[in-house]
Amino acid sequence: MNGFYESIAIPVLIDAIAVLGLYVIASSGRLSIGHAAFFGVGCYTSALLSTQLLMPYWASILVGALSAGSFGLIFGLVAERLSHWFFAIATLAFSVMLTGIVSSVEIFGGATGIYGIPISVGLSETLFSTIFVLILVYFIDRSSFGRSMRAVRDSEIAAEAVGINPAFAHIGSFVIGTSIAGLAGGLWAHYLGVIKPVDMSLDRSLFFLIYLAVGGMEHWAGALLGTFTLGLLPEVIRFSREYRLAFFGLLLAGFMVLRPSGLVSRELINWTSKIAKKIWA
Amino acid sequence: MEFFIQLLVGGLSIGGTYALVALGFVLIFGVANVLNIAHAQSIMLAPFFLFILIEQAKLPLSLAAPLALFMSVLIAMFVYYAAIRPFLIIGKRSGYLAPFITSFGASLFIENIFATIFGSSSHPFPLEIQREVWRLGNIIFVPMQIYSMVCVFIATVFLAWVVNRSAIGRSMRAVAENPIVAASQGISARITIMLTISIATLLAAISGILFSAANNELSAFMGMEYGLKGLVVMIIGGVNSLPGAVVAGLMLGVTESFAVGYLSSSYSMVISFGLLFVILLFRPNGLFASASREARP
Amino acid sequence: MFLVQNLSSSYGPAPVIQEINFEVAPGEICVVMGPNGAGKSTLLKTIMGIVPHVLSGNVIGVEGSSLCQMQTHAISSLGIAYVPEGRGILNSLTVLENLQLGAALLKKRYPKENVASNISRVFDGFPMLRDRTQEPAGLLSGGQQQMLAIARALISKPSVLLLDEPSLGLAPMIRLEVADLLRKVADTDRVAVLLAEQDIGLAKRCADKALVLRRGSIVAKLNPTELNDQNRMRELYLGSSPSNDFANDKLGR
Repeated sequence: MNGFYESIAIPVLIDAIAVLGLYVIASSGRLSIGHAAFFGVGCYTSALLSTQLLMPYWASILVGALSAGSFGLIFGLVAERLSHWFFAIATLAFSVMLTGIVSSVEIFGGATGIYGIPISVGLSETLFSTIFVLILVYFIDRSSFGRSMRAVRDSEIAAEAVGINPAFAHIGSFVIGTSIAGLAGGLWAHYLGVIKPVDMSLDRSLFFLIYLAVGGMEHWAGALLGTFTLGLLPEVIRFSREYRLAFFGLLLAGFMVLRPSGLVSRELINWTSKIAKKIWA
Repeated sequence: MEFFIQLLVGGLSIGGTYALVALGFVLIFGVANVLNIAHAQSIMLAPFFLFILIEQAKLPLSLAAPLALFMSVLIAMFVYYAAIRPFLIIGKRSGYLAPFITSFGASLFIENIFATIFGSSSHPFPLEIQREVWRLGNIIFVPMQIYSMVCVFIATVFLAWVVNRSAIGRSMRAVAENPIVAASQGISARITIMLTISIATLLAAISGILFSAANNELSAFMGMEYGLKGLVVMIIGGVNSLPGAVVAGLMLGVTESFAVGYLSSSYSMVISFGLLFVILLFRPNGLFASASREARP
Repeated sequence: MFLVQNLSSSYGPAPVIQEINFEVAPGEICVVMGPNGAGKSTLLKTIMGIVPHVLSGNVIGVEGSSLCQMQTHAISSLGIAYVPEGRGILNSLTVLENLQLGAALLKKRYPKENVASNISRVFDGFPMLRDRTQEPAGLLSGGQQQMLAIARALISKPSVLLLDEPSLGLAPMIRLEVADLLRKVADTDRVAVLLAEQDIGLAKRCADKALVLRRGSIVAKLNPTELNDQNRMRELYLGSSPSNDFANDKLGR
């Protein structure tokens, strides 16, 4: 019985980590529809390191995260001048490109992917990583960098007027976010033991986006809420891929029109902390 | 040498179709001030409607074609009104990301609804296309490619005439630059946007039919597939530029064609999107960038 | 008679103009003055339907139609021409195309009119535009753009002409030309002119009457000669407040 719950909990937690990364990116106002590509960089890098170089799993995963972050840095630098909508398109294009490369190049195993990765990630490792990332994101939010990011998100011009460099905020948040995605990818590779190009597919990027957008882009709790509710949905209702995507598309459009902040909005957080203070006082 | 010319012609042909897609996006972005991802689905809708009307309703082409175009425009209009326009009302609280995400959601929904109804594998194009090649000396010409280029040429010239020389085009350019000043000259932004969406959808529909005929394949996912290429072309050309979209489209088509021809077909994706990043390195604002409206997201 | 009755409007929750009442007769030039933020621009934008929240009141056009709750493009089709702040020229269109927009409006109102002859008529009134028809309007100087904006507004034979701070960014000489032009337009074409202006010189030169706005309400209706009274003007703009009296005391007034 334990194994059954684990097999549901671990993927959801790994997804949550990736979505937390997306949340960091969104904190600076940028949107990424290709997040799974960086997840995939983490997957493949860590997989290759573990299988080819026989590195210990935690080292492979860490290097995987770093390499995802490096890709993020390069992409962020090149695409910085693009305005938000077009930046999102560029992330999409980038992810399709990376998926294409990974599917065709020998080393990555083509369509069959890489198998035989030592399965060293279980519930405890995943929980540990999730908590670690959560603490990281929490402190970034509270730091001055977090404030800069949100300032840039809310008004680039005003932020520049007080000496904040929007490019720095954009690229910084993107590097952090993609590193976190890479970390999630490394965990995924060492949990499943087998990875394929489909693990970094567009579908996955879309799920990440939907979890965050519906859950709430304004606070990390939104990332968690979105992932836990929508991510567990297929366990409750068995959808075909197309039904699931159609439903999610409708959900996405509906939420943005009716409740653009997502489920967890700034107001909700303020309200809950007020109530919490009253109770604890 | 013959191979070179064949690749060139093929590249120009598909590049032109990419350009049609990009032109639609540029028009909507310019006039309605929104990047409507759902527009990509118009590429898929028209050939699908054609398929439904010809195969299942057994209508003749002369009836099916205009009906298919009309239905595509209708759906495009509906999506705009339901999903996008609510954001353009002043005072509504939402970030600038919201209309983009909504249009994305709408696009996902349409794509997957069609996939559930018609299946996710592809269908053949419902009409007979001449597949026999023409020869000029040692050079082989594929008729569909030539038809395609002619169509694209006519459509582009017509669009250029409408935008630059007609009253509608003047209204479009006025609303694109400053909707309030345009309104003070009696131009209704709403009507102008509806006209723009209709024109853009027609362009997308034509491109969809051309894509589908050329590859003899019709899939629910072709909207996003070609739509993404069109968006990349739009960025390369400079997001506000109509001539930029044409040039960038041809460029992408030719580059892809040569890459596939001289390297290998698995590099096609890499080349297409790699071109985007190379251009961005040297011209971060695209090839024909021009400052028009104030800071747009 | 162009009537504004009890007009109030707001930007979101903040009321900007309150219970404005006045009228402008055909051929009359009425100037609205007041300190920054008084609501001059907002008044014009409310009349044109550009400000989204009109709380109450009505605007009645010269033919008697009620303009409240109408959309901007409908209002301009009824013969109310508007020259916005910063001239409102469409920079990416050529001079001729800008005029053609006005001509299209003319056709809407008077379908029998001949576009070419009307454009010609406008060139007679604004000769400096005749040589520049194909130039992108963004390349014209400030003064020329202002002339183009007014020409475009006039081409549709409006009954009411609204101008928002036409003197902004213009050299003093050009401002006088604009004032004279407006006077001529009002006299010859019997257009009711309403202008929001900071420049007292321009106002004095062409206005028939002046309204002073402060914090969204009319505090005075004057005739142009009264604009010369500096003390009165200072009091109207700044209000009778302790700090004002203090300043006056210190300055020995």
